[in-house]
Amino acid sequence: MIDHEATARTLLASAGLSMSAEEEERLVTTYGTFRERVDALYDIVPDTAEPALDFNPAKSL
Amino acid sequence: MTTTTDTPATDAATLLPLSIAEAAAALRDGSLTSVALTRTSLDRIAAYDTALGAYVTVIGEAALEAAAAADAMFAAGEDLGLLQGIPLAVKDIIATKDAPTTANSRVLDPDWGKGIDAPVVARLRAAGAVITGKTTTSEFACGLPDPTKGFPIPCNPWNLEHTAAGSSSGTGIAVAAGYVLGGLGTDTGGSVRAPATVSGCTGLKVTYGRVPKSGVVPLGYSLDSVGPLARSAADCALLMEVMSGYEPGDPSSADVPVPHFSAALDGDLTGLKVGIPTTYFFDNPALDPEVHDAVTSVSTVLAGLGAELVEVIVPFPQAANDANNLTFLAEGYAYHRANLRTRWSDFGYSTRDVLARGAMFLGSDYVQAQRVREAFRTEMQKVFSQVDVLLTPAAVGPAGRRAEMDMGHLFTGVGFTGQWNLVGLPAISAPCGFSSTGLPLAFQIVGGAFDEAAVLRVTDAYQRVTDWHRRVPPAPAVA
Repeated sequence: MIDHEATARTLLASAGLSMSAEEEERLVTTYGTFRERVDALYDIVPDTAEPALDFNPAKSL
Repeated sequence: MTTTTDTPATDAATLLPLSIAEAAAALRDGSLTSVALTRTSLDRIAAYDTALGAYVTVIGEAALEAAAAADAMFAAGEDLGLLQGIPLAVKDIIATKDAPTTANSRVLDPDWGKGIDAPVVARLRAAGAVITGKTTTSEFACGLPDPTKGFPIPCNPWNLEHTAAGSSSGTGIAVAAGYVLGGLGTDTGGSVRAPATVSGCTGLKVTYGRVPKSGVVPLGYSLDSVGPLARSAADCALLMEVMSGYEPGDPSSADVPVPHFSAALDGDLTGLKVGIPTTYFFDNPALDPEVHDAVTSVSTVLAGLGAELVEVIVPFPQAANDANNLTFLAEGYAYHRANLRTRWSDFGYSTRDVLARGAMFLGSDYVQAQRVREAFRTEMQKVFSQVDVLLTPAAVGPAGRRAEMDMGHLFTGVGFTGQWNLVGLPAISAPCGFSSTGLPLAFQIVGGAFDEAAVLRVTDAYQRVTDWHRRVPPAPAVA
């Protein structure tokens, strides 16, 4: 099982931001829910799906 | 607020509920001058904006000079079009040559955009529009207002205790409160539509690339768009005819034809298919019943105007909204990373909380969001092969109380707007009623790529037979 809070603390530490302990705690405690949303993106499309890396609707008309 | 005018009021006329078209007619039949209209606009700002917090900078002298120039042209028989002499507002992340751009932030270089007009502003000026000043935005177009940073706090004109939403808060207030007849906002996940929704005006998020966005402080490079807010879809159409079109040197600008948007506004929806995505958008447990009922009533009106209602499925709308959030967080963090590291405390408390979330994801997450983006684009092309537009609620509920706002909900809650930014589609928010607490409710019309004409046509048809868009905020807020 992934420890979301530990992951969040590691990512924030590597970012080098001068946030207070309270600010870090808020981000850490809310990270898990959105992380689950992000993880769900990996289940939406098939493995063969291509990304839109040069996004412009005009080019796809 | 910085005010650069001391010109006294000389005109008692109210801007409410004047439309751009009505003002344009009055300017041409001699019953109104642009100077009188602009003075009224400046008077209203001076009288009410301490309470409403819509403007960061008012450029009264420059506005009156532009108005006088417009009047002189009318007198000389020169007519640049229906925006000539019309007072407008510009969101304070869009460069204007005669007013500073702050992005409502202590972090932005004070010389950013100095002395230049963003192309979209230059187009409005070339059409004779009168720029009245720069309007409040969420700092860098994200986060909640921070009262410790010295910028005005935008308040909902219908109830000062409630939010004016964001990020184009000030322009939404300025239109709803009758300071101006229209203005510019930007939209990365809903930032034109949300302020329009909660303030009770009409706001159009344009197709990505339709309107040039150079000269605008970026938030999400691949998502940002500049769009109009005005009292009605018809007024948005008039603004769009000037704002739209290819801009050489703007890498996101699309070289596609610009239709005569106003020409399609005839009130007749015969033969037009309106998709109703009940799943997620209408059956969502998070949806306020009053919003559900108000938007459902819109579908009845549209059917009465000749539209065919078609039940449709929008595939994975929540994932598409989440992918949009992830994309703007990653792109926004890339833009702000250096300043976040060195000037953390200069950012507002909420802005830094939002932007720091961009440091908490991996490169692979961003790429996966772009895979979802491509898949959603393909799915939406299928949907728009069945229908002309979609009807959805613009938000799950009316404006919340300012004291209870929490940006964390943006990333864990339900959203009806970000999906369309992810795939660059046009979408409009327009009023369709009020909550039992007296706050505006709104619907959203979404169109296919570069089909703003259909979006505007449907919304205009609705507004021809209803008057929600004509309602104005009550006393004491702005009366």
